Amino acid sequence: MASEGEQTVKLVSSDNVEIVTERKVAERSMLIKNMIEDLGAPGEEPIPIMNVSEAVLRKVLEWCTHHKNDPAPSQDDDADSRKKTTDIEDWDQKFMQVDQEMLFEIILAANYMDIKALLDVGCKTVANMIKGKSPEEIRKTFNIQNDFTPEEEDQIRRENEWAEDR
Amino acid sequence: MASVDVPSNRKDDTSSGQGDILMELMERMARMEANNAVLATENEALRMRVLHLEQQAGVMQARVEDLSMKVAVVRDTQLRNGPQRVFGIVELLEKILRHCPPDQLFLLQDVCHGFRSAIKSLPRLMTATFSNPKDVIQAGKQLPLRRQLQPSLQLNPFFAETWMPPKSDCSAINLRFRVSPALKVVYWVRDDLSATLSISLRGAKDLEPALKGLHTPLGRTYLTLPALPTSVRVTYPDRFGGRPKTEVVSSWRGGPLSGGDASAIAEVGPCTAFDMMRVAQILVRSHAAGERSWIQMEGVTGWAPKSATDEERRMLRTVQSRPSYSA
Repeated sequence: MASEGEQTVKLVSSDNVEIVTERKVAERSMLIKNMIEDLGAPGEEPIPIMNVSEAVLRKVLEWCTHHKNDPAPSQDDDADSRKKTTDIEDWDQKFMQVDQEMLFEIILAANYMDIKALLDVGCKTVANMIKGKSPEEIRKTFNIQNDFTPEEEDQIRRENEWAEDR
Repeated sequence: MASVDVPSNRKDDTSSGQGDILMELMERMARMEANNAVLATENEALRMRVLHLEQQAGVMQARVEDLSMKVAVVRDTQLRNGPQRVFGIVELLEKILRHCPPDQLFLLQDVCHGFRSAIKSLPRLMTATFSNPKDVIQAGKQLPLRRQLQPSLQLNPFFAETWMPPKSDCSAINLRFRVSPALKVVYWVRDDLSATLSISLRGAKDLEPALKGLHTPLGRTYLTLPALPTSVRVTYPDRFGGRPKTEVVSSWRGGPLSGGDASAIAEVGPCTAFDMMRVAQILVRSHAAGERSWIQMEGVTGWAPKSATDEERRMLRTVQSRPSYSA
């Protein structure tokens, strides 16, 4: 019988593509880890990852493969809350050099699959994209609709004059 | 009884006529029955066709609904791209914004309503912008010393310009109010987590630009995290207010503060930069009016100069009634 480290699991993406991967890699996702623990017999039953397409799932598994030997994530959310946005490893920075749609899909997948470290890297990457940009530039970059009335905009701009000057 | 004689040949004619009619009626009846059977068959066929059409209509309706849902999903995916879906989840938006520089958070409120309400209402983001009313230390509470405080005391980056290393149990932070750069403001923080905001004025109008500049979201932030109970102290040259050079003006609990230049002091609970400046303004005005001390307000906790307006009294009450900080 294969040891736990050599075991494989079958994941099924939202577009019904079956992907076989190492259990250790898949278990970077707390969602999958919990499902394996609940269901038992890993590798036999395919695990549906309903909200994640094949392309995104493969990308997420690429990250999980690289980080499969990392220590288990800390449960204390506040422990690293004061880390700077620049604290992204080189490999992760390169990994996140994808088109914007894929970047946000990875964030959504990491959130759904409960992969805290990947979610953190994704959020930091987006924060770095926001850093130094004006509200208008941010709206343009992320295609966000300006839902303020002209009066509201004027008021907020007046209030923020001082901060803008800094 | 009289009998009628009918000619026998006439009798035959009559019976043959009746037979013809009967035959004709029977033929008609047979034809009608045949027609009726055809109509019944046609009716059944029509009924079956109606049923079939109804079934088809049901199938079509289901297909239309299915297509409508697919169109809605496609439209949703097209309209709500990745960023919109991520920013639409409050937890994810909070995670992203927590990694942004605190001073940029004020500007980010101008992106859209979603960003604005997250920055203004999520406790962690309020803490990041030094504006969470829960991050305060109340005066008189049994608290650890500043050096024991975990996490350690943070300075508001919007105002703190230079941080001088602590001397004995007290350290001084030079604050910079961009709108009024000439205003000399030093924030003294003691080891028992009490503080003094010391403002040196050259003239009565020195405070006005600072007050105007602080009438913003930035002004509604605390000077430290957690915010500390603070004494607001205003010092100005003796010529200002026409006081004798050696006069010292102090309010309750203030005590004599300095010789030479005149000073006025008021203690307030943990409050925002703008509120501290307003307290300073009241001190300046009450001093100019010749009021030597503040009086306890009737029916409420708090002190105010006699000349304070109702609005000022309300504000003075507010700055003394912040929620307590739990370390």
